[in-house]
Amino acid sequence: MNKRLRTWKMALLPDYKHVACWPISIFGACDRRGTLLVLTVVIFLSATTTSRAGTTTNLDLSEVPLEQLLNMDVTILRGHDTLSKIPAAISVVTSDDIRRSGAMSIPEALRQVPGMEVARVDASEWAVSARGFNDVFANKLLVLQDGRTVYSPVFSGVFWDVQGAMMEDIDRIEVIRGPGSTVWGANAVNGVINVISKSAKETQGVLASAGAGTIDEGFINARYGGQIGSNVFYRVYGTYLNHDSFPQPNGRDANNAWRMGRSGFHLDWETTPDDLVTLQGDGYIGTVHQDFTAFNLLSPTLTTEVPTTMDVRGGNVLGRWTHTFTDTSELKAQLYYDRTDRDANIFVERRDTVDLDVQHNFALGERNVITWGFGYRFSGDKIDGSSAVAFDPVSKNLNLFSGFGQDEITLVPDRVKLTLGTKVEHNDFSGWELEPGGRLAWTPNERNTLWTSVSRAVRTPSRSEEGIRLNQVTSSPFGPVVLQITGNPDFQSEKLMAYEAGYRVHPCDKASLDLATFYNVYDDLRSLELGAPAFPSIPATVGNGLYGETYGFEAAATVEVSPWWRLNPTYTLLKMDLHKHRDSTDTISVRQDEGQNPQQQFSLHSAMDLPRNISLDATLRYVDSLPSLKVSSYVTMDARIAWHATRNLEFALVGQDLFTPRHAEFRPTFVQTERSDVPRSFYAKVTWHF
Amino acid sequence: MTFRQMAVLSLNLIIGTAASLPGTAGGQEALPSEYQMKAAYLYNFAKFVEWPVKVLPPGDSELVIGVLGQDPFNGALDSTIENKKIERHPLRVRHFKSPREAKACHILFISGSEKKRWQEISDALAGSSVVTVSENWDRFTEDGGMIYFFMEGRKVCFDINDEAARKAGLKISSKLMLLRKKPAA
Repeated sequence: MNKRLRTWKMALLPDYKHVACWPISIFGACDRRGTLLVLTVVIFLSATTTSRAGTTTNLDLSEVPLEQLLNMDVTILRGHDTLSKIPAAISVVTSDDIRRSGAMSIPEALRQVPGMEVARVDASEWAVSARGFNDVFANKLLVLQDGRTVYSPVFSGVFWDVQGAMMEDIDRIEVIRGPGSTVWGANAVNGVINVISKSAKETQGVLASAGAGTIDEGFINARYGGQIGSNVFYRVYGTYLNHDSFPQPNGRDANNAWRMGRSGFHLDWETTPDDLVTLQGDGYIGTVHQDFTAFNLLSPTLTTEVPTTMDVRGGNVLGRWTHTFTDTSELKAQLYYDRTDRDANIFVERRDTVDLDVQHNFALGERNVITWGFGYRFSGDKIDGSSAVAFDPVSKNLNLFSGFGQDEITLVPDRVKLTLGTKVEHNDFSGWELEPGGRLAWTPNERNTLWTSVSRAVRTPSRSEEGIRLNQVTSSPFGPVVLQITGNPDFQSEKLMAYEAGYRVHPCDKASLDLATFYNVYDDLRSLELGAPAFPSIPATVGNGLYGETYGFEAAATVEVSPWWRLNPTYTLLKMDLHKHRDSTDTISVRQDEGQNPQQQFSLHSAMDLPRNISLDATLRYVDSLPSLKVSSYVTMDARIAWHATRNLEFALVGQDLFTPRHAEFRPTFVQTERSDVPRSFYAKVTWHF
Repeated sequence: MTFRQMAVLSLNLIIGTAASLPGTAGGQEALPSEYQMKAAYLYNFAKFVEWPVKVLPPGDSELVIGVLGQDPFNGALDSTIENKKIERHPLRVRHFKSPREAKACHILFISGSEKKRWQEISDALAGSSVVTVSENWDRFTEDGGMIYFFMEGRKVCFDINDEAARKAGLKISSKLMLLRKKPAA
């Protein structure tokens, strides 16, 4: 628990630890949908009544013989202590969850988190968002890997195809749905994801795994962790994956196979008991096949297929110093350099990023914990375009200055905490931005936490919105037309006021329930302002013509059916209600944006530990339809069976997307890559460590 | 599936689960929590360790189990050893903030939160006969700690550094020594 608390701070928790409040006003806000209100209230009531019934087992084990104690099982409930008191919609995917899910990539591991929308677009691309606005170029989710942002200023999103890690060395993935802007700043609008790797101390020795399958054709991972002297620990790792193509909807090969190699190191040096210096770095190199449909004025369809072999390369090195003054005071300073290269036929990007981040927290008197910090980021790029897509200017250096301050105030000791804070930033596109927020947590007893929050977040403009030149060919009643999209240097930040509330209950040691609900009010959302058509082209300029509301809730439960069997059901409801401002000419985006998100999602994960060291996992998943992409709803299942032959050797067989030979999850949007379905797949894996 | 069907399904599921929670598990015995188990172990350690006479004089002197740093037991330690005696020694739980105070106990549970202060703690305890116990700290016994709790699946196990115990003048019963385990690498 203490370990979690400490490392926790490093990640999402510079800020909130224990807080909460009462969700009535939020329920009220949702009552335009009667069903939702009733549903929420009923769930709520059923949870409170049971929580009264559940009492702590008052066991006296002192007279049990020692030998027997050694053979007795204890309850292990996740999300018990610290996590359950955080006043935000937060979920943690542990390394055990990742292993049991059979996930080969970070987005796959995120599928089990309620409120997340995770869809495979094709063999290498993902659409990942939280609480709406999903897209291949989803722009309202901030993603960090060990404190390094992997969010790209090209389109305010993540190139998921080049994000990765040695999955075995991930300690946990923390997910906050809702704004994290008070601490994390611009772009932490609908959520923050923090991928945190294990310390070098926790990864000592050799771990090697390898496998083969129908889609993940062949892969090998290896890591070695060692020690220098008494206070320096390190690890080095390498991974390689050869990934097959996905099929097109008509069954033909989509020609989007890819392969990627990745290697890195992590070094932890405890220079004194109060100082920890971490130095880490990763590099990757890969080849991704992708067929683009590009604009060609000379062709009758106005398009040409451009088979592309994209070369991707990148690397980073990060240093972090953590100094502990006292139990309640810690200083953290971090500096990293990151380089990415993407070389596709239609788009060649090179980017260098340098980022400095300093954070300090301390207790002020008995009741206040202050956290404050500042940061600077430089991001310089050069983007060579083509007739399909280009950027103006070709090269740009971006500077981001930021500072934040937060006070966690104990109003009633152990019961009520209020967290107030704000971030102030200056960026080169929209200038100054202010992102204040407040969170209140009420923990009436160890088993119940109620929380509520109000926060403002902004999504700052990206290179695309400022100066993209994109020719997108779409069909129309008059034949193919070209949407000629032009960026807008006056594009403003998108703004969000978010109202959230949640309830966590732990009615007995065998079950827990986590509910979160939200009402988000957006303004100045991106629109495409259409100009007068000159067939076959329609000019469009990027604008801030949309506004709207989204609301919904997420429920996740953990139930220990028996010591060897655990169930995790989750349910997600999302409603999006977007509108265009009166002066906007955008007749496309409202329906398009609304229709790219599943209204409902449901999943049920079953984890069993069977005799003879066999573990069996299965996850059933339902995702609603995406009307504007013409993607139907689907139900599918992933399953994994693993046998721990010895303490050091594990064999696993994984089947993914089992229910149908193939199904669609998403479709390409702005950049027209080949449409792909997700096929049923299998792989086998051996893991050996000593 | 329509919205309504979906809602009904999830409603049933969640209520179904919630309603079946407290009493459930169909007659299966409630499992102890991790810290109830660890509290029981601490009680047993008190039974199976022999302290030098000057530290624990025979008779009815108190045998003190201390907790240094954040207390994870949530009352389980107090309730386990409440009103208990070992031979004629009444047991007592004390909470310490600084390592210096902690010298005044017989068994010291060091919260994982104190890992960074280990040098200070071990200096403060030098020359004393305190059984140091900790968790979530892979190298605790290598660092000179005496008893280390770790989990093996759902079972709580412990490792013992008998060298450190001997140096502190403590005698650990062979019964404990036989039951110790090494954590998996």
